[in-house]
Amino acid sequence: MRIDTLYLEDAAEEHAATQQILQKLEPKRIERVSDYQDVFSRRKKPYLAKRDERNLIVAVKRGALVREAPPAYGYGSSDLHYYYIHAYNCVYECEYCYLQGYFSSPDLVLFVNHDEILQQMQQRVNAHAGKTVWFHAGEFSDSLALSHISGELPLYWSFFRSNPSARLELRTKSNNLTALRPLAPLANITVSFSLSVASQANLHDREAPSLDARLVAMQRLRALGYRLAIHFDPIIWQDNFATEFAALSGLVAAEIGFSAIDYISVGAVRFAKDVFREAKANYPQSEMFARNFIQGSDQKMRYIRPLRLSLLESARDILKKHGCPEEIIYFCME
Amino acid sequence: MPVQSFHFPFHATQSEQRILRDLIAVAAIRQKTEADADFAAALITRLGPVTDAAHAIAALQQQLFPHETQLRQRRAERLQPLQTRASRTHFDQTLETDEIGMTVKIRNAEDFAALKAAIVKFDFAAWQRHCEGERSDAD
Repeated sequence: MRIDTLYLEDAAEEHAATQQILQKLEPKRIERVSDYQDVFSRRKKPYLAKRDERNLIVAVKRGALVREAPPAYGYGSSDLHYYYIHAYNCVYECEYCYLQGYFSSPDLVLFVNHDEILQQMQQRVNAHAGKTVWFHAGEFSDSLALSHISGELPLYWSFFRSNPSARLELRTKSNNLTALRPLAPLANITVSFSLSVASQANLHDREAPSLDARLVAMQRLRALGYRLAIHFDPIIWQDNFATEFAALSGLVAAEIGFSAIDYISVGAVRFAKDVFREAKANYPQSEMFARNFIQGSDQKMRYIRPLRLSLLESARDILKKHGCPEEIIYFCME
Repeated sequence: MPVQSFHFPFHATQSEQRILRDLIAVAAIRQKTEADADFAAALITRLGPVTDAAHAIAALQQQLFPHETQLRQRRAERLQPLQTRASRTHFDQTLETDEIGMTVKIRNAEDFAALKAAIVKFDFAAWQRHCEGERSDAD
């Protein structure tokens, strides 16, 4: 992978993960920094600068490493949902991505203090004995796209092997299975793929693997014995949505099969207010913005409720027609 | 010329200008063209004799989002019985909730009686069912 400048934070140098990362990359430049925030946060860098320059920061994450997920985030309403932060930003450039406008910089950040992340995860599991505690990876980055470089997955495998009541979800659009192949699938680890109808994936998921590539990756993982999940999210209105979604559901039924899928979320496109502004500036001609968005009491920009429900219910009905059990479908953030 | 340099042929506050520019941008995306000053001028001209920003916004919304406008009209019709000599009633314009807002000014016994009768007669459960059942295939 091409890296222009690799910023190495002093505190990260001693970590084993850092040495692994350095062995796998040949950046044009390496710069040492005492605090990664000096590079990442203290000066504003346009989101689309990622097209011209790809920088990577290797750093130690301080503060909260594990955070509570927002309501209606994950499957299983009685379960507890957290996400852990092992990276910031993404190699893909999806037009609706909430990372634009979220950070001051689009530079990639890999955090290497996995031991501390895992300690905080263990504290959550211990505090909720007897309950299912979910940990989601991929909130601020794709969980698999750089996993062959970041190299952390074996550590997390050990954690989930020792904590069967905990569950891990790796959220991704990536077909990079290099890091997963040598690992034995575990019953409490699910790899979830974000899928969109083909025309929208082509249009909006810039630089991300095609829908076909994602489906092939899912097939390969299923063959390896992995548990899978799907996020049909975001759903963006289009004239022939029902027809295209039926085609996609048919593909999933035929090529993956719903028996290999733990859960399916369906979510309508939505933006934080700042991200909405940034996305409109970045992609002013995007057909995403051809509908009306209203600002909710939570400040998020969404389609009007009658349209959201129409889309989500239509998606659910189509999935059911293709043999998907209703109980594995949930509406995300709704 | 960018749409920012377009001068509306009527008075518009900063906030109204922002809403109008957003609507013009939506129209341009749908027509797969650029939302520049020429496009804005042509769009506003096509609205006909619009004399103020509020009417221009309403006309553009009606044109771009007819289903949504219809949903709001239906809500307004359903709330009509609560529009009395003593009260002005409104609903959540985002259509997100079934909340009803009311501004009341009771000047005499007749006002009070009219309001009381309207409230007693109003079928709130039917209103809630109506809002819950709203669906739109999009505009």
